[in-house]
Amino acid sequence: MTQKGLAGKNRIRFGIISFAHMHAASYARALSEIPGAELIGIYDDNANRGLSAAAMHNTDYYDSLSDLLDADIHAVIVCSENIKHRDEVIQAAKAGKHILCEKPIATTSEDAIAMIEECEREGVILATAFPVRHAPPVLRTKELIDSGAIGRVIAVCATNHGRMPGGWFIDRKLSGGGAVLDHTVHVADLLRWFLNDEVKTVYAEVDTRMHDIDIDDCGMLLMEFRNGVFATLDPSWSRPTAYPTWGDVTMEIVGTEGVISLDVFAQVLVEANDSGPKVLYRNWGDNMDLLLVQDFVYAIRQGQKPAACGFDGLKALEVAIAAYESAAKGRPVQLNLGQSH
Amino acid sequence: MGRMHADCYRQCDEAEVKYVIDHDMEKARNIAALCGAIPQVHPDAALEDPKVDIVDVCLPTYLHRECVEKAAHAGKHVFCEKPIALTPNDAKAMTETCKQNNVKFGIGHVLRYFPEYEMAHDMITSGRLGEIGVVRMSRTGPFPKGWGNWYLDDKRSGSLLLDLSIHDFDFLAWCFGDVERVFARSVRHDRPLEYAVAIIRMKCGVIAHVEGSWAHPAQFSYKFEVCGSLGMIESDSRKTQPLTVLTGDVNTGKQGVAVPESPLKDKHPYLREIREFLAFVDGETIPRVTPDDALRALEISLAALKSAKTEEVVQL
Repeated sequence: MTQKGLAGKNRIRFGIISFAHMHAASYARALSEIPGAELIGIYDDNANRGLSAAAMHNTDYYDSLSDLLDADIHAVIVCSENIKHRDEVIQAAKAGKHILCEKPIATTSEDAIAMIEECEREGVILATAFPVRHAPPVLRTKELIDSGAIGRVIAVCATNHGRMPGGWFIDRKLSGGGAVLDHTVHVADLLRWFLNDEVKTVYAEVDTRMHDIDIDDCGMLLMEFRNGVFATLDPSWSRPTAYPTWGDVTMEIVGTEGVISLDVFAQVLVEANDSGPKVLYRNWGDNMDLLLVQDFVYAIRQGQKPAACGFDGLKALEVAIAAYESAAKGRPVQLNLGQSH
Repeated sequence: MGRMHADCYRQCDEAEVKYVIDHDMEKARNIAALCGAIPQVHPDAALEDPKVDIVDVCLPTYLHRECVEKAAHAGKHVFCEKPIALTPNDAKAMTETCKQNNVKFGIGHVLRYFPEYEMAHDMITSGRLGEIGVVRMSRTGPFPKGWGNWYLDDKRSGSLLLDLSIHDFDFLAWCFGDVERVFARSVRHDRPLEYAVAIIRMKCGVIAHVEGSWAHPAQFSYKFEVCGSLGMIESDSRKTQPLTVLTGDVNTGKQGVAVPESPLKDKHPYLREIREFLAFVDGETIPRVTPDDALRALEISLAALKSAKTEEVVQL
């Protein structure tokens, strides 16, 4: 199929709500690469950011969310600051648009539930952007676990390290939380999917120790699942800017018959260049943001569930919220086990 | 470990091994042959020999106290493998007995002599990495084989958190001081395998994660990372092996067991540990690991074990 192989009227037409999150640019590029998808416009409450993004991606800037939602679009991708997800998703749902929402889905369970319920009422798809689910090394890991290659999984040791992102990420009024919120949701989502189970209790240490900021930059979690499997996670923003890459997602998955060592971003070449400041890892693996948007487009087209829906976003968020609660109380915290999907 | 220690003494001009004692005469003979010693199945001859200055104890942990005290009463200096004992009570009694008999007492927390760990310790304490935020320690390998499968028995080995992770607990205490609290989990399976993790908050505020595994069907490996406000360091034994022997069938590509090695001479950790103890016996220096350090590491292990058992946070 050639680029934009489908006739224009059959394309899924997209709007992007805000370029606050850096993934927006990656999703915009994905839309330009996916046959049958098209970016119609960008709304951003920051006009400068919206105008330059629109120019960069060769599309229109909208200074009002209602105007973007009134445009002839089927779906939106929400990349605003975490705290704004709720209102924008609900407004988009009321306008009948399918929604791919950046993670974390929201900053409180109540917000996430309100978003999920509104989307159900309006009959639109709500997907949570968990791109790591789509990384081929991760898909292969899921396949290996399901095939019994390492017997029964009994424990997992995971990391999701990163750099301190700065900007609105470290402004609690906009982000709702620091490193622990930012990174826990990715790994909690992967673990729920791998283990086909829900987290029962969370214990966490949370602190600000490496940067002069007013939000957590490091932590350590121990999650126990209903089936007794335990998993630890290091979600810290502990990578200096001098480090050769932004961070990692790794898992040591221990089974009764073997171990899987997963390093999602290991597909790199190492560049040392006298014109650059340092050694860099250049990733040559698949573009998981592209695979994520493809999955969402497919879900819309087929009327199917996306890989990770709003409920998955909620369950991952609950783990992060429990981590903060555990750290504040100094003991493990039980999660609400009433819900299932 | 007895074989390793015997080989280290053999390399020290200032020491010679006079007796090798093992209840298995065959084993005693094999190791004695390495270092020109007399094999014995019972320690009495060695303890009564006035030419013997030092007794090196590499017994399973549950036998440490009895043997160390026997040697101390016989007026011998004692070097004892880690963990010092299974209980703080035993550890304190052993230390006290050595003191009363005026003999020197050393504990083999050899990790402090591994050059990469020593370098990390020096970088951490020099402030080069700034304020330390998060530390990760990991030690993974197959289930250990021992005489009579003593590693399988908690009453004899104390289990993984006590026998294996104690290396990393001691390193954390060496670099950061005392532990505030610990939360841990461990799991066993009858393959046999054991796997454990501990989240530790040091009194100074550092957050540490310790992973220990006897569930990895692979060569033993160990790694760590230390992240601070100015920089981070990381080390992985699998990536620092300067040579690997590959054998197998070149026609089919069918591989034999790849054997990686990291040869060291003056920096050989076990040799340095033994030399430092010999210098201690000579009265020159205090070794970097004291019986109190060994007791502190044991207490962290026991706190982690208690947390894993009760599923609660344990304060130290």
